[in-house]
Amino acid sequence: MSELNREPILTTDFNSKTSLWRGLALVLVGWLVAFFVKNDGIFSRRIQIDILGPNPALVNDMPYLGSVLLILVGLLLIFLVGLAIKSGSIDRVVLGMFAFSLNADVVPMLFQISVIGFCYILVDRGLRQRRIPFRLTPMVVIIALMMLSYSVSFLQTTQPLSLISNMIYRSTYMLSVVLLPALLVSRRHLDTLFDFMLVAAIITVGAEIAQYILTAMSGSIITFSPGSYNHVVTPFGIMPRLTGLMYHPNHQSNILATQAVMALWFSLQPKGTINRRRRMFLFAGYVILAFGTVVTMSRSGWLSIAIATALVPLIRFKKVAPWYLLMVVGLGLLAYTTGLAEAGYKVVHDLNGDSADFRWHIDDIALEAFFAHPWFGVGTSNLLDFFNPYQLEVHDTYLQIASGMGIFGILVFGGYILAVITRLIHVALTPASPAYREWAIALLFGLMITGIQSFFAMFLWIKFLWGVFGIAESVIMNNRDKNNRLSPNDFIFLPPQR
Amino acid sequence: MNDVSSIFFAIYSRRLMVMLVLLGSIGAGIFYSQQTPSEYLSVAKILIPATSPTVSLKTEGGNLPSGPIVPDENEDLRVGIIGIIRSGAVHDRVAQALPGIDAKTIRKNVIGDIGTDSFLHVLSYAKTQEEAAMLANAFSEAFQDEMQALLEASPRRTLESFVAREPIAWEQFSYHTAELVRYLEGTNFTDVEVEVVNMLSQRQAVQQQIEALELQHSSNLAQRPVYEQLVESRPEFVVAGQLLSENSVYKSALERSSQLATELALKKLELRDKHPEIVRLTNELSLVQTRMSQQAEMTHASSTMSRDPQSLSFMQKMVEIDIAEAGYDSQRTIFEQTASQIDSKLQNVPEYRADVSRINAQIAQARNHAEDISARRAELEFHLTHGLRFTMSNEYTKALPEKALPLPTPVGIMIFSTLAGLIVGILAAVVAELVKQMRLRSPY
Repeated sequence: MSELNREPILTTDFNSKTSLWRGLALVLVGWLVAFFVKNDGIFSRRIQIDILGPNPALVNDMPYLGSVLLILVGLLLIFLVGLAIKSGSIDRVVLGMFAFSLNADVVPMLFQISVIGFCYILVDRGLRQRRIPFRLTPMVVIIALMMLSYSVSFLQTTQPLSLISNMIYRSTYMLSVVLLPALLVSRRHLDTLFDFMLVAAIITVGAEIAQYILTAMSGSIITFSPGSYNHVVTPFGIMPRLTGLMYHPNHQSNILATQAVMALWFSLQPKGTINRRRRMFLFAGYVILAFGTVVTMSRSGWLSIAIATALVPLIRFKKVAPWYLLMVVGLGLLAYTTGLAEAGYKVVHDLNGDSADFRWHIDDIALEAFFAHPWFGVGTSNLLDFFNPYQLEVHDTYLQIASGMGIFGILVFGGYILAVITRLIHVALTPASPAYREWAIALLFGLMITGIQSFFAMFLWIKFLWGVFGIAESVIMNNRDKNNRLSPNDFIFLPPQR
Repeated sequence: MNDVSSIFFAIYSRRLMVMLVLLGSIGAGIFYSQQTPSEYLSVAKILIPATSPTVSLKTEGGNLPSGPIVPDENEDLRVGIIGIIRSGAVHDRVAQALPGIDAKTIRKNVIGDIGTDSFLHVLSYAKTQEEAAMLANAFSEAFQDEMQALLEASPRRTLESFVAREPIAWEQFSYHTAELVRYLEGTNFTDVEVEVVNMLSQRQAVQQQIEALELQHSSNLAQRPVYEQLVESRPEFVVAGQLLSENSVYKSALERSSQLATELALKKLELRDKHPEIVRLTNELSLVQTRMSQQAEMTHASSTMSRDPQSLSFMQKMVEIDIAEAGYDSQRTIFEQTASQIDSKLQNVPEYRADVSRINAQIAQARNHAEDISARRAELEFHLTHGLRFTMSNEYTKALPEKALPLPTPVGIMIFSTLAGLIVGILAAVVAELVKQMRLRSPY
């Protein structure tokens, strides 16, 4: 602090004439702010209706909404810049934005901004140190093949411009697999990112609670998802399917369940490996995120988190694993014999029965698409145009790949997923340090969540999945490079604070 | 400098920067506040019911415009109404009604919105309160006219079609009716079924006649030899009659007996049985009766001879048989010809029936069609005459000049200019601090 409080040594300085111009420029900025406020006062409502449509309530009838947004965005930027100043660099801000973007699809371009931030950090500091720490993984080749598979869609599509914009947007998600191994080079990096992710996920659960309160107050369902799937019919009446900061309740349940089960795994580490405070933080995170998963009313989310939660103690506590298994089997048998399991299944099955039924039709169309175009599929996102009277996307990630990209896509994506899983298992079996073993198993649990839910919904182009792949790649690479470990002083990203 | 106070220090050390931005925003805010209100906002409301008017009892509902035109409780469709407004059709109507105002100005200054009260709000911006209210009300009226025109467009086209098709439909009915008449005339029928029943009765009667003729013929052939034999066995002449008359003594004795019986009965009322008069009358009566019994036999007066009537009868019968037999062949021929004619007519009955049934079906169809068209034409005319105006607005939903909102408000400008200026100034300060720190950490 003392060092930074000294008179700054600037590479440039302003003379009096320049200072005058600078002052006038600042006054002009102020003038522009008032000009904006004045015009916002006149045109705010018109612009809101033009942009947001006439949908009533809350948003489009608010006077000075643009000015309020300007103030809020300003406060947010001040907060972020303040964080950057406080932490000594923009690294944590960028990393926080990245973690938040994985949990908040509704915030546009946040992920891309964070990716730009990562690139800036890598290039700027790499050039300064004449060392860009880019670690080429074999996965780059597979990702290139994925892009090739995606590109085949151009041969099928009737809307190439729409396809190319989608492809460019989604390909930024894949950059996680390349960028994160270059940035997350230590356990501290990984833990910091996971902490950010956990906090962001808790914020999205807070958003869910806010949605529930607003829904209860207004009488109409207020979430970020369209009306077609923002509610579920239960024996107790219609319930909202809360989405937090995601657009789809299934995606929300996926991100929450994945991070919840990872938090649970980390929180159950042996004594002495983590302190009590951190253990409580992680376990509280699990409880909050599990609650958030339940209130999404996503049945696939419930199933996956239940299975993962049941498996965690089995893997973690090997000594009591047989007794635990016996207890779980006993409880299962008890539930089965008393009819409780069947009654529970019936209740869950009857929730949105139509939704369950239509999936079979869509899946059938996806299979037809695959058999009609077995080698390269009908093209990514082209299933809507393939004799699809429902105009709905397939609700199965595996069929999404098969129908959209054919056998080539299955081989490429299947090969990639298989490679990630086998390499994580390898890390778990031969860890460079116990921490990487923890991380490898946590990621396997996390991927298991997506693997189960993928039978019921699409997750291929959710950036969270690619974020997890990027983290997995970082863990694998860190474990691989155990003999060439960098000194903390050589970290380009998140260097130790002085 | 890694604690929070470093941020406040950075802001404080750049207070001049913050003050300059704030000064600029407050100064400009005061300047703009002096110019307020620059516009007025007036709002007219229109109620759009959730259901559209029912036009017809039958199938006219399907001809109503659907999608965004017909109001519905579904929010998407209400958004569709905003789409109609954004198309500019209503603005053009207003421009025609208010030629003094430029169409572009109307398009720019009048927009549609859906309020929290679920009414359609017409927001109108203008330089004066009166102009804003007038524009909002004109737009509201034009919108309702436009909606009515859109809703009526399809029924009107349907009505035109009905008006054109109605005479054709009735002509078709007349044509089929005439066709039936022509057909029946050609077959000499007035009613096929009645005629068929008649022909069948006639045919049955002819058959019965033939059978009766045959029976009579057989009977004649069998009877004639019998009659001949009977005639031969009878005498040629027989006593045809014998005349007998009463004995005159008996007749007088009978009369005397009657007188004496009467006199005796009368005397017995007055005299006893032993009275000589009674005795005399009794004796005399007894004598008369004795005499009468002696003279009781009939006297043969005369007798006649004639031909045997039985024989005559038999001969008469034979004559009748001969006469009948003489007409047998001709009668049979006539009956058979009649039966043949009837049979030939009956053979064509199925064809008549099919043709008549077809024509009758065509008539029924044409009649139903024509009646349907007439009914629906009348109904559509009724509705369209009254107008399909399904939106509602009244004096309470109209825009009033005194309720027009001034835009922007001086208070709003000052509050938000100050706040936003402060925030932007602080942001500039902290960004400057961040840049400074980054340059210090990584000097070029």
